[in-house]
Amino acid sequence: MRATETYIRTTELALALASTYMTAVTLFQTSLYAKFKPLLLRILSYMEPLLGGLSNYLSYFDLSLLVLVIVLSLLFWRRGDEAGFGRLFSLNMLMYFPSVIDFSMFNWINLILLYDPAPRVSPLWVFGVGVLLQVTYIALRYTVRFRRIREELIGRGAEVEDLDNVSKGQMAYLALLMAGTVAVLTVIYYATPFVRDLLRFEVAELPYPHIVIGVACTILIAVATVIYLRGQSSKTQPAAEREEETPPLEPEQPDNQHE
Amino acid sequence: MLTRDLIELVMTSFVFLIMGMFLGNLIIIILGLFPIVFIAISLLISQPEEVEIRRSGEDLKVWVGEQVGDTLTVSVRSGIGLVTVGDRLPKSFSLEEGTNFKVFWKGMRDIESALSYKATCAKRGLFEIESVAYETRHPLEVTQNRLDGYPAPRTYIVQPKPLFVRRIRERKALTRVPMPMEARIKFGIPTTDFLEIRDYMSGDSYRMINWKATARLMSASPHPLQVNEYEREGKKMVWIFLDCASHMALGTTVKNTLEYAIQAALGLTHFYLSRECRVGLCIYDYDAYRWEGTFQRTHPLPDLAPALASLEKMDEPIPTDEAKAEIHVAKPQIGSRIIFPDIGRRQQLKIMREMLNVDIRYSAESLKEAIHSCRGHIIGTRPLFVIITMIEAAKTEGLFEGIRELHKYTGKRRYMGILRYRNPSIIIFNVRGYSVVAQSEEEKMAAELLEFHNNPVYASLRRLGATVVNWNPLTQSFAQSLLKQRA
Repeated sequence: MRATETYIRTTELALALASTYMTAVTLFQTSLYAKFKPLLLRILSYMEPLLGGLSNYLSYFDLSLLVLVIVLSLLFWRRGDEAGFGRLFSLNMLMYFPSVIDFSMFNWINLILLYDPAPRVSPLWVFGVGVLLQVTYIALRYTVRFRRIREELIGRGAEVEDLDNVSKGQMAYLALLMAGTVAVLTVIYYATPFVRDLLRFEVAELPYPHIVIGVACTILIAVATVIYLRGQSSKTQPAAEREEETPPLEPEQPDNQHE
Repeated sequence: MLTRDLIELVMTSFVFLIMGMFLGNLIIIILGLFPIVFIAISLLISQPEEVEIRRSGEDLKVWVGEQVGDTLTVSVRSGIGLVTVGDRLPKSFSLEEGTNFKVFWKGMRDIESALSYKATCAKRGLFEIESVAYETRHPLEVTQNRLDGYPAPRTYIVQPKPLFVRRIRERKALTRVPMPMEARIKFGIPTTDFLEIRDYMSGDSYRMINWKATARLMSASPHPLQVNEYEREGKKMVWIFLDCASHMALGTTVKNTLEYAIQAALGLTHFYLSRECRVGLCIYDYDAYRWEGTFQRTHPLPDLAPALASLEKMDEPIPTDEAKAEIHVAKPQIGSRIIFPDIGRRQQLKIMREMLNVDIRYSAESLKEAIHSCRGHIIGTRPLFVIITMIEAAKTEGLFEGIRELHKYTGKRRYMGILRYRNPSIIIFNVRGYSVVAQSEEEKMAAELLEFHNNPVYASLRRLGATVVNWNPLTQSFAQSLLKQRA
């Protein structure tokens, strides 16, 4: 494996481990986990005859769980495909969800199981971990693609030095894009309280419940996004038309010819 | 058009937004905006738009097996992303040095880069490269890749190498092959070489009357005067018939039976032209005898004039141009592939140019039809016919019919008032295609066996007066194959 591929894989590993570690640590500090952990420990204590000497290590439950999820994360990374990273994202979201519940206006779990939400992490922490999750999810999607493009171009006869340049450029572009997106989101996060204060009185006078307004806003965002994407699509349309006119690449090439 | 990946990200975003609304959680709602903001920023920066490609080599005329080279300079401006440039070479070109495909990363700055390559032309032909294909991609492939071609024309003429027979070192070798018997043409100045005795015709000089022969014939029965006919001054003529049927494709794309046959044809062309012969070329299809024959009408056309005379005129007369156009449409797409006999270097170039285009099923005429098509140039002459083909014992009907047709046009001769037959000079140059394609020992044995099956066919052909020259291009040189036919 070349240095550039190793670099991509290492970046993937770092992101996978960092996101899993951060979500696991966040999970251990949520009130839902604090509520369920004694229950779990009690169940495990009933299984003492089965566990034997292992029952002495129940105090290391958090650490065991952390090691378990890290190992799972490693396994998903080792697979290195989109499905593996999709599972990693699901695992991370599963661990992240209790912390989100702690800061939700409607705690649906509280309706089933009564507990006092007393998280030991701040909303900014939860937001930061959420951003890390999104960064991991999107970055891993694209690093998989970058590797696939590499393989495709190698198959077409591209020189490895050129491909290294391409991969470095793609990684740099992705990093810049991620940084830009995180910056925009951070601005939105910090601007939200001010906007909320400004809108509170206006929204309060509306004769509709907030859920209706929320749904309407979501639809508006959806429509705006679709219109924006269609606008971008129409810009690239002539190219697509030209593509139809261009004859497909000939598959039958002599062995030593490229492309 | 946007990619599926983009739609997936948008869907993720909406799932987050709806989940945030459901839970009343601002963090989730803001996180839901992440993919949308990400896509929006990525779409703001488009993929590379302006690609310019310059070619710095030149059009070339080369021999098969020689190398050609080219250098392309690529300039990319505006946008960010991946650019691939590929100069699509003809299928028979083999890349030797450099690369004809290159990948660039277009960052913030404009780039200019070059790619160069050298390729070996393995097969004859006229190759025209119209444009250089390029592809631009968005760095994240959120939009469709743009596939286009930049016009950068280049022409390569790859000429087949003739197999020259200039010097035969084996001095004792006496070969029946390969000169024409006579230099006989219909018109021209009579020489002193006696040709035949024939009946007197109006316009013949009295000095040409052979009184002895006339007296001998008239003593037996009333008979016209007999005159001596002398050879007309002219060039010896050679007709080369090249088979382009599908069985000639045996072998690889580059080295197949047809390629060897073409080399042999060019070698023979060069040989005879350099010996002051007139050489003609005719390309035919060995298998076409199965569907041959519009030229020989077995039944006369029915006379429709009396029947049509009573009909009223229904349509306006068709203008001449339109009528011609209709006739043109009705003609078969593949016609005769004949180059009429001529001498000199010009003829050699003409045949060489034709050979660039010859391919499998290049002609749709059978041997018989081809001979019929050029009969005007055969009748009255005694050319040497060289039929270059691959003999197959399973289907020889077309070949035999063709040879009979040659006998019909050149075999007759009147001597002393009696119609006599003599064999035309025919060489069947058999390229042993099965040997060309055989790789392993077993395959070579199988090829030998198949060749063995041809022996009765060779005997039949020899009985018809033809000389059969067998050539295995992998084990014999062209000259060796000719030398084997000793008198």
